[in-house]
Amino acid sequence: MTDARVHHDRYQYMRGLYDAYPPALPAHRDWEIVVGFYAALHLVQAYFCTKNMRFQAARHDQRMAAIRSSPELNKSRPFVQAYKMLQDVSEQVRYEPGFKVAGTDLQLAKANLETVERMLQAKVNRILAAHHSP
Amino acid sequence: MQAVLDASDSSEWIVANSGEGTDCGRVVAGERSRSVVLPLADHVISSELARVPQVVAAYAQDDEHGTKHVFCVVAEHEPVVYARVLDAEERIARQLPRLALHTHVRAHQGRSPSAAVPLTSSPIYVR
Repeated sequence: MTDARVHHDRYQYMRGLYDAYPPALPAHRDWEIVVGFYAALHLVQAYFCTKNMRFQAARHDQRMAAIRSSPELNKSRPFVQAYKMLQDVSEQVRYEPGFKVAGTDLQLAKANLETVERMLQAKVNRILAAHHSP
Repeated sequence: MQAVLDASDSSEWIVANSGEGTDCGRVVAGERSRSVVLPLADHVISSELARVPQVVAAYAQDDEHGTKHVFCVVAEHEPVVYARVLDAEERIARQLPRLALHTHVRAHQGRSPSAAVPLTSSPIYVR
């Protein structure tokens, strides 16, 4: 459960950074999407750390395969779609200098991050609370 | 180079040719040693992506772990595109169950499709 807690802490840190980003760097908001994706990634990792070994993922493709093979996540097409869209837009921001982020990309990224959180946050919090050692 | 992707029956093998220029291959497979002509992975992938109207081109590249990365080029990132690409991915997975596939959506934003994908990827489909 230690790894889940570490990823959850990292998620909370990235989420705080995501919220602080627009006022801090209003003219350079493209990387806000990258921060949002990594917040989502650490929340997903925290969740997978509470499941068995076959869901442990070290790479993006393994993580997506783990999502697709988790019935509780894959049955919800909005979750898969939201995570994938966050990942793909953030990859294009990171690796493709000609890509221009539009206002709709920023709005969709926020909605996608919230979709991932809606699906996982309560589950992870519940599991971590159950394993809390005083 | 040919690679076996699935062998659900000893007499029927699905093969893929990771080389360039062809879209089908002939192999002798199974105990009966009969020849079968079967679709190749790139052909299956491009056929399914062709059913997604927003995808104007697809590029592929294999990584060092054996995963095939497919870059689906669209005009812009839109939820409807993702829903359709995920549907296509599921159809591909049913046809090629042992293929490790990771699709990526890339927006060309009015540029040439090749501008939106890694330089090291190769085209497998252009509308």
